[in-house]
Amino acid sequence: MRTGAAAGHRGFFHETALYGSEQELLSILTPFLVGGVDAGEPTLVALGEANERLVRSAIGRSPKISYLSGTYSRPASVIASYRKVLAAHVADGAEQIRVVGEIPNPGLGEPWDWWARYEAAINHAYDDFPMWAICLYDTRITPADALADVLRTHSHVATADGRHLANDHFEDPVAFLNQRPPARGDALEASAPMVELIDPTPAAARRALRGVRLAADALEDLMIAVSEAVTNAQLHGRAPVRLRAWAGDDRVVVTVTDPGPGPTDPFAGLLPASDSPRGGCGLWIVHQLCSHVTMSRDGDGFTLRLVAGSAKLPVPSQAG
Amino acid sequence: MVRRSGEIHNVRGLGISDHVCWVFDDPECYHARLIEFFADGLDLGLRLAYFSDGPPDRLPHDLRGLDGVDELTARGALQFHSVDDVYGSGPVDPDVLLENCAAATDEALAAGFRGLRVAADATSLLRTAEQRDAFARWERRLDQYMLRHPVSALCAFRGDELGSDAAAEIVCLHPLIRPETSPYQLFSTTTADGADTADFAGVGLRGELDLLALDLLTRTLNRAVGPVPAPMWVIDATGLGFIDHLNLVALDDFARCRDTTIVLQTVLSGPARLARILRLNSVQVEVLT
Repeated sequence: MRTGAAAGHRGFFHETALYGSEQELLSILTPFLVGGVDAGEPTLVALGEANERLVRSAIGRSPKISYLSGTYSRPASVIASYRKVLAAHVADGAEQIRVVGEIPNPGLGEPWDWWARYEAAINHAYDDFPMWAICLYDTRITPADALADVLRTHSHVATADGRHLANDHFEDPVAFLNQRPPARGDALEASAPMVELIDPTPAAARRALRGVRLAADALEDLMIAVSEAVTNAQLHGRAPVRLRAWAGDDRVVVTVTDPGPGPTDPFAGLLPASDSPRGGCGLWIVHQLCSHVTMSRDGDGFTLRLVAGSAKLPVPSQAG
Repeated sequence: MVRRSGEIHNVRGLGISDHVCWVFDDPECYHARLIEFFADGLDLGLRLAYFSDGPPDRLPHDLRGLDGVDELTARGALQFHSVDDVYGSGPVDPDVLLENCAAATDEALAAGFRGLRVAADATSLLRTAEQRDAFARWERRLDQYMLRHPVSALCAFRGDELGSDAAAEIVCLHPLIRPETSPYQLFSTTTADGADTADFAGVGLRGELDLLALDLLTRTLNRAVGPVPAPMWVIDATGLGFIDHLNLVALDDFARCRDTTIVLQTVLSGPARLARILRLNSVQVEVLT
């Protein structure tokens, strides 16, 4: 039997908590975490370093709480990991799993667009499981447009005075994902690309980028991602396929554009297109190997943008 | 036996168990390689076996540039074989050809030679898909035999007659090839941990496996590879420069059908991350450092 605000709910109970101080954060999280432990429910904490320290010192030692450091790396990877963890808990008999999470904040320069897609997509991706999640956002640093997206993607809001309110701003995830604004280009794209290829083979694409300066693992991952992106365009897009690439001091940006409409699946890239790896995996793999990925449509067609290396953006000047 | 593998621009200096595929458009290019290969073979003390679909009186012309053809023939150091007589007109029978090869090798050794060196233009045996499938199985069996026996071979085909895709079906089964004639090579070798056994020679995999190699790899696995060891098949992929998810999944499908697990030994870390993402059940990637 599920407990707390999620009692009687089927599937994923997706709540956000907007806090403006450490006291507000603890007011929201302490009853949530203690409630999970008392109910014997798996209780997972996936926070940034500072907030994890805060919670640990407030809650004290509790072997019943699992701390998952460094969880939020790439949205597609997070979904795959959580689904595996949730399935294991359900197989062990868990009737509810509580999770508190803190996504890399755009107020600190982390790219927001793909995490906004993540917040919408998990309403579908985690709905197979009895999961109650609280997603934390610090109103002191989170930009206003990101907060607006947060309210559109969470069905409930947890407040510091202990309420769990139904959220009137919540939108159907498919509708949210289909209405995303066009992705912004990277600043490097303002200059001439170092590579521009028309209808490259996957091998030609890899050859053109093999000399870029990246750490060894990041370079290998970029080779795979670029090859998968070109392969995907050849299999599912239309000719001509145009690949462009730019290299900066700390990152490489690659765009692959074709005049086709792009994927129609609103969850493309965040989930594999089918349950089997036998097809529809290219975009999903790209999303797990790159520091940032965007997909957009305009007059030129469909563009997949990959970033390897640092994906951090200039910190916004105002928040909340 | 120490064998070379990779891409080569000539056939000089090859050893007594080396196996090379030479796709050519220019007959003079093949001729130059043929003479190089045979001249080196004589220096190594090997019996030469030349396979041709031409008449016997063309032999001196085919081997012009090789000194003492008549004397070599008279003392049994050079033998001429008709392709039609040895291979027949239909798809080849690998079992029969392997028996013949083993017998010829034993005869060469018994006659005091250090082994057998073979050269053949097999274009006429590769015109249909059925012929190529059978020949691919033969090349695989021959390569496994050569790993442990003193037989070296120059297998040549007319690329302009077969087309690059058809030629690649055979080229890919050779440890030594010309550049850009096959996206990958799958051949017999001694693996890093010496995992070859009496029944199964180790296998090496070189090249780059992406969308353009996928159909060829699938065809090779399903039609040419033959029996593989179980429960584990170790593949030395230290020469593999790239593999994408489509080809990893193809290897996984093949391994599952054969009730084995492929252990891909590679120097790349990317395939290991890719295999974890895909959660493959029948392929393990072992990164060698």
